[in-house]
Amino acid sequence: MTDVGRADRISVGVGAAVRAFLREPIQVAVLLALPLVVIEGYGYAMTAFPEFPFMEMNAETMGRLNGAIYAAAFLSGVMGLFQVISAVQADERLQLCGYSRAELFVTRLATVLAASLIVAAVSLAVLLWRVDVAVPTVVFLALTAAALVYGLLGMLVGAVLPRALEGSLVLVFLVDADDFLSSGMVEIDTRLVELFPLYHPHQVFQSAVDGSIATGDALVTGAYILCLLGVVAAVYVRVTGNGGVLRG
Amino acid sequence: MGSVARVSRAFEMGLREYARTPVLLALLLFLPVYFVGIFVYVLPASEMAITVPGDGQRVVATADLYGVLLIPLLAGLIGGIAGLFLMQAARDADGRLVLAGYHPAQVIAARIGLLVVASVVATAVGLAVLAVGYVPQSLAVFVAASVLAGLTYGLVGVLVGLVLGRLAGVYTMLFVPMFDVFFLQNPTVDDQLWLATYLPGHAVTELAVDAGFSGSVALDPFAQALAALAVVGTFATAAFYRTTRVR
Amino acid sequence: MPNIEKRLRNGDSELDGEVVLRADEISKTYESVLPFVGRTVEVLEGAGVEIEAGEIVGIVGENGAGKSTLMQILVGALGADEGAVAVDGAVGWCPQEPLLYDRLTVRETFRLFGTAYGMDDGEIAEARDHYADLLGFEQFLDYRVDHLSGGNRQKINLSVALMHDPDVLLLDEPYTGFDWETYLAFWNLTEELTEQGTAIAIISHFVSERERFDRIVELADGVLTDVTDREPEASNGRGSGVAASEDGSTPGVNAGD
Repeated sequence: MTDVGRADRISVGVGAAVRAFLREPIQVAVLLALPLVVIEGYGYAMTAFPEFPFMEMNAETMGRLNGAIYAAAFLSGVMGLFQVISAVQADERLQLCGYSRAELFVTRLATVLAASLIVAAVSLAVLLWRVDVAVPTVVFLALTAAALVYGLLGMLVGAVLPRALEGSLVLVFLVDADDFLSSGMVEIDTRLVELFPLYHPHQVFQSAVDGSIATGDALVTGAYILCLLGVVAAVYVRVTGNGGVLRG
Repeated sequence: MGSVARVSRAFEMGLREYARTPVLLALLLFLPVYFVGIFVYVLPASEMAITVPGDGQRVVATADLYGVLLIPLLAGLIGGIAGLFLMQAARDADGRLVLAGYHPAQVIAARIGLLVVASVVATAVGLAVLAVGYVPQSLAVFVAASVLAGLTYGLVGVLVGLVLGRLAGVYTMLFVPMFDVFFLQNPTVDDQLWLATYLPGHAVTELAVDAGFSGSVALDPFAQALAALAVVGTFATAAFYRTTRVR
Repeated sequence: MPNIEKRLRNGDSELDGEVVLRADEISKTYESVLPFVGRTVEVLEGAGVEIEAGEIVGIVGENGAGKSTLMQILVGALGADEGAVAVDGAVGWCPQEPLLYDRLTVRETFRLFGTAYGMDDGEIAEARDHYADLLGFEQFLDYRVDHLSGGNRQKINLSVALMHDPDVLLLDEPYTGFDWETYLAFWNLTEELTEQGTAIAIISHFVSERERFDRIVELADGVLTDVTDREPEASNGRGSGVAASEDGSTPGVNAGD
């Protein structure tokens, strides 16, 4: 197997995953509709609450921002979950057909990355329609980072709970709680909150909306993602058997 | 075997199935704690002015208001998913059960009984969690309204189970009651959307809010709630009947 | 509206002599839901069959020929567009897919279906233990249906069809996943049942032991034809649907579980 062949195989794998996704109209519909529903929904919901005194912006905008992060993170998380479910079913067999485990892993990751970029773009597009954003590129990157964090976490959820319904339900509430508590809407012990997956992406995101770039938080987010990558790699190895030999 | 015995046996088996459905049990235990935890305990204390039907303008604690809204919502969520799962099982084995000798009406009676149980249990669990912070004023009416919400949405879940699969169905039955009770029926919203009056959550939420905050409750919405139940119930029963009989 | 429901139970039968099940001129078309989209399939076109008490009839045909559809119509799970089915006595149906409640245990499954059949608890226990012993699933009585292997699930599927001692048995590929011993036990059972006068129709993809059947009918082009005396095709086994493996083994039955 040459290196050129390797790149080809990976792109074939990612392409197949994207095509398979697009072939189900309901999945495409959810991809497009969810960000809209969540962003508008959160915005509307927040108008029902009184202004929280420590918030810097009005409640409705806060709601929309939270919605954008939620949509990106949740959709990507579900994608990660589905990738692992698929991996648990198919990857050992694919190894027998000639894919190396590294290629399969990179394919899965690349698919999650592609998904993160796409959901971040859709989320941003909906958000821009309603909220003025100072630095759109950085906002996009922040959303992608949030999506990637949960894409990887979704893969971990899938390793523990490789079932579409149950795993996605866990993600719904995980992302919701994380998004809400990381957003700064309520006062919580800062040291604890800083550990939440969405905390630093939230900081980068919110400051980019306002016009500043939170470099410190961006670096921490990058480190967070790298750590997650390591964990996910280890878990992937565990979940897909030993070097192509089917477990007995 | 008499009709009652048959219905009870089908009911008993249905209960066992529910008890062995982890998604349902997990949601039943988790949702009340999660929702009540966030809305009642995490959010900072504040107050809001709402119009209590039949009682006029009142100022209530926001936490109490959301607590009161949450119980019929929880019943609706759990009931809806319970109904969804019922229909999905029905599409397979209930038809065979009817061929073996059950009358469809007996199976339907057992299934509706199960939905009532799901609604009652969801209401009870929700109330138990809420009661730590707030107890609705007219408890009996409040419970009745919540159970009614659960049963009505349970029958909606049965209809949804006709068309949607497990994954899509669960998400629909999570989203729709939340959208209905929390957003559209929210008493803090001044201009209620026209759609709100036609949704299953309308009358029961009105009753629940009234019962939650006042000692005497205007019982008129019960008629509307029962009418909504009858409409959904008729469709659901017809759908169920058709599913278990000759196609 | 065509006369479809002519199901008689232990009452006056309009069926002559030994005939316990008769289907006349059964037609069924699957139409696509939307116009101009999808296929319209005429599965059955005037199919007819008679089964007598104590007979074992094999129903063969290519994949997709409509055998399961026919059986569902005979049983009453599906309505025919045209034609009539008359049955004299109680029917037991073993569908191709195990139509069972996944989360109930084997014991609970028997109790529920036994109640449906009108059996009391004593009769249910007796039938359950009898078939558990015969087909070999006594150790699984407290297992949930969805925790059973495919073969064991099929044993329960079959037992539910048999437990109430029906007069007519309609079995759709009943021995899928059976191990060799259970397979043999099954044929012993059918012999006993036919001696008692039960009529049995079995849909099978292969009829390697043709002697076990009194008659074989083939479903092709929407109609049933008696092919009892036709020799099986030699090499590819297609056409008649009767496939005898060259080495005499029975395909589809596992040598071990």
